[in-house]
Amino acid sequence: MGITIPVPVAEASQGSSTTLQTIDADLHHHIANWQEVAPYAPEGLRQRLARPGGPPLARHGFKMIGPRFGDAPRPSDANGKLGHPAADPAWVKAEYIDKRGVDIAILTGPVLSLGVQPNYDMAATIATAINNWTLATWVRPFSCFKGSILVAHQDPAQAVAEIDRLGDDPGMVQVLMGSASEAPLGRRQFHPIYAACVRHDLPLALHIGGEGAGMSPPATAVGHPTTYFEWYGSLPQVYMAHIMSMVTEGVFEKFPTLKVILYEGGLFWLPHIMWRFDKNWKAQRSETPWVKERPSSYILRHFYHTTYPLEVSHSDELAEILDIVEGQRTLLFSGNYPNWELGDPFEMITGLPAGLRSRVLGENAMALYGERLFGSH
Amino acid sequence: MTLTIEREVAFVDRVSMLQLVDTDIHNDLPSLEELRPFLAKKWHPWLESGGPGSAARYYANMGSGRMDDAVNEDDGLAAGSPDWVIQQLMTKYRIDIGILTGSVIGLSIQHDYRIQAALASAYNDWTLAKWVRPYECFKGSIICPGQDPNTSAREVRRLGQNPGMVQVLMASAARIPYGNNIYWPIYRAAVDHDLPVAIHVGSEGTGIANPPTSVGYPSTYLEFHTDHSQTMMAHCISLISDGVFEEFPTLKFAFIEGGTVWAPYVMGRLDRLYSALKAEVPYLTMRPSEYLLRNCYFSTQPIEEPHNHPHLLQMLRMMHAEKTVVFASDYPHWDFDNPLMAFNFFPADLKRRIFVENAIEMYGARLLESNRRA
Amino acid sequence: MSRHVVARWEDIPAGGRKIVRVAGRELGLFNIEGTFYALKNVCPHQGSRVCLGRIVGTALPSNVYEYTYGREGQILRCPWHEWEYDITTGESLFDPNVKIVSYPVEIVGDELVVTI
Repeated sequence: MGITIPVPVAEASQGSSTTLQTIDADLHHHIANWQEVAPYAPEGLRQRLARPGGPPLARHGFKMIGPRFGDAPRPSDANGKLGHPAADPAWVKAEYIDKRGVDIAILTGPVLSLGVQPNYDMAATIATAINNWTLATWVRPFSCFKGSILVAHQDPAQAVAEIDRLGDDPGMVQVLMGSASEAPLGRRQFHPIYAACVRHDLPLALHIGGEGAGMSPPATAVGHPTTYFEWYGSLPQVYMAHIMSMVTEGVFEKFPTLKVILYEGGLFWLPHIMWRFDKNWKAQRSETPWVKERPSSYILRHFYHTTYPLEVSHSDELAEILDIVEGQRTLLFSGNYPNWELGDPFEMITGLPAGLRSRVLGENAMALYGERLFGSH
Repeated sequence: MTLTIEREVAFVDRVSMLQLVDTDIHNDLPSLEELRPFLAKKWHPWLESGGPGSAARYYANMGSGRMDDAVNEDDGLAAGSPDWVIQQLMTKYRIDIGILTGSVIGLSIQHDYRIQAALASAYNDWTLAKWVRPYECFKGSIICPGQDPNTSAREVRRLGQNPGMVQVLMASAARIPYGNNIYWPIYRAAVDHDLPVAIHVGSEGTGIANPPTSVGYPSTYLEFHTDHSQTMMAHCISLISDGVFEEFPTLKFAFIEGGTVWAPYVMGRLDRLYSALKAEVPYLTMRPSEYLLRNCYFSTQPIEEPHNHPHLLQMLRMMHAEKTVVFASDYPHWDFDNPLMAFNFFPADLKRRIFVENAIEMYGARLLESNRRA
Repeated sequence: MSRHVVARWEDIPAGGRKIVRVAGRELGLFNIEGTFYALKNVCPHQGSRVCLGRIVGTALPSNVYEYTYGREGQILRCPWHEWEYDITTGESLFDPNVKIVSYPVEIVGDELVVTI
């Protein structure tokens, strides 16, 4: 690319006596070669990950058509062939983290459909391998990267074992699950996973992207979308269903310290959901008598949202919605590196009210993830 | 309030006399037997057996599911007769015109599309005979077996010129999103007759429809009912994305009983995706939000109730409610909104648009045409 | 404030109710195990004639996945949106600040007297 685009660098907040921390909650580090990941799997299924092309992973058919990665910086080889922007941690550190003024980035990886893979043991092994490989090759060598404990939730026992295995590792700051699921995540079979999260004081992150793959129902409640455009536009509905489920099944009564991050879902649907849910709960309270507060109270207290992508709007509309959903506390900056087709992540937040900027860029994440975010690993 | 049709009154004057148009009244079918005169003989064995099997959903309301104080002791129903509805709803709440949405929308997700198509036609004729022709205050919907789009299109064409019918109506529960081109014969028939198409919640997760959410089955009615709006959102996105509003620019599409202020999410997210993802949808010539604002209508009920009233008005402003939102009572269901109270904090001009004028724009002059030749 | 005779207490057996009109408003009178209560017949939500709703018990607040049925005959469900109200206080079960207006009731001889 021959054009130099001025890049916004995170600026210090006004009046702050400490260094502004820019925390990127969502960085999709890439598996260039499963042969490099396979050695990190337990021996029993290691060779299954090492097969050419990697382990069998059920995929949906939704694929973005058009140039990938937007203006994400891409390495090129001696022949000028462009490489993947997120395959090499050193590249990501130099070309994104350092150049854009990010202090810490939380790695979320490339596999978003693990919870709907039909073979429970393969899914759990893939999670373990990715977690070990991430720690060894991305997290330990670089202080700027923190990891997520990826788990496959269709077998809660194995998910719990993985969380307990790595839950006290200073390199890990959250538990990560694909939101694609055979069942809404409030269901009681998943509660041991939440118990494990709070046992290790870890928030839970959900990430869309696996919907329609493997065992999951069609990606919308009315059937299969036609295009990636339609599919990706509809995915926040997954979060809505999970929110409904987790609140009504008493997850936040049982686990009052559990926090849940919803990645890439936007925000503008939250007012409707909060208000519809409250209205219905006042009428149907006796169906779930353990839900003791308005559902919107649980939603505001327990759920967090990320900035990539934010809905397009006028900036005063965005300010109004942020006021309704307490975005000054619940909104986290996410770079979504390297999937920048929808634009530069810092440009995407230029419409934020000025007073919120430092909170969204770092303070909210620091409050959520706590000291583990800065501890040596 | 009755309109004196004989007088020659200018249309706009007649509109100005209206106080309230209700876009969602669920008139009851007291017995399947009432359809017998309208049903061809070959389907009568189904009537002898008490009607076809009907897939039922698990979820049940904590109460009765309807307004308990509106039940007519004579028939045990809250909307069993036109006169009862006029007394209990139209007069009490000063509603001039009510759009009937009936109680059989779920036929479009039952598995035997042939008997369901026959029942839909019979039901439509019954609606005209019992509810519409004798009353100027009611208008009917052409209920369609959405699972059979070609038959639905034929039904729309059969009744499309009837002044007593003002829209096409299907369940929002579906096997395939409504933007898909298998449904386009319905839309072609609708625009040929200048009829809006409306979809209505309730039958999710039943029969041939998909699970009520994209992550499976909720456990409770509380979730189930709150999840309804997701089917609306999904259809809205599908219609825009698959180019229905590009192919049928005059098609008006209404989302009934799915709540209202989710539209800003559809507008904002699709607009964010559009600039990057045009390759997949090259046939779109406008931004997605522009299609939504031009072609889509959203009924109020159940109106969202934030503690802070200005918050609701802000969301309505984002979706240009002065153009896109129409009043619905949902009589006699439990989540009925009282039009005399629930909108009192709305600015007067917005309220007028929602109560009357947007419905006039959506349904057209047919709304005020006499039903005597329906 | 004024006191009004609204009914004979014998007219309302235990578990029963009576709708009366007094001082320009409608009240619902309830007899719960011999104690009488008077609620204004207007739901604070959207104005229904709330006292016509079902008199029921309900699932009491509980631990997750536990169901404890109780307060049979003490809960009034609004006939519209089904909000549950404690007849003895007029307070909704989901928020005590949301309540039906209630009035003190006394038994004087064979009459019920409400102070409005």
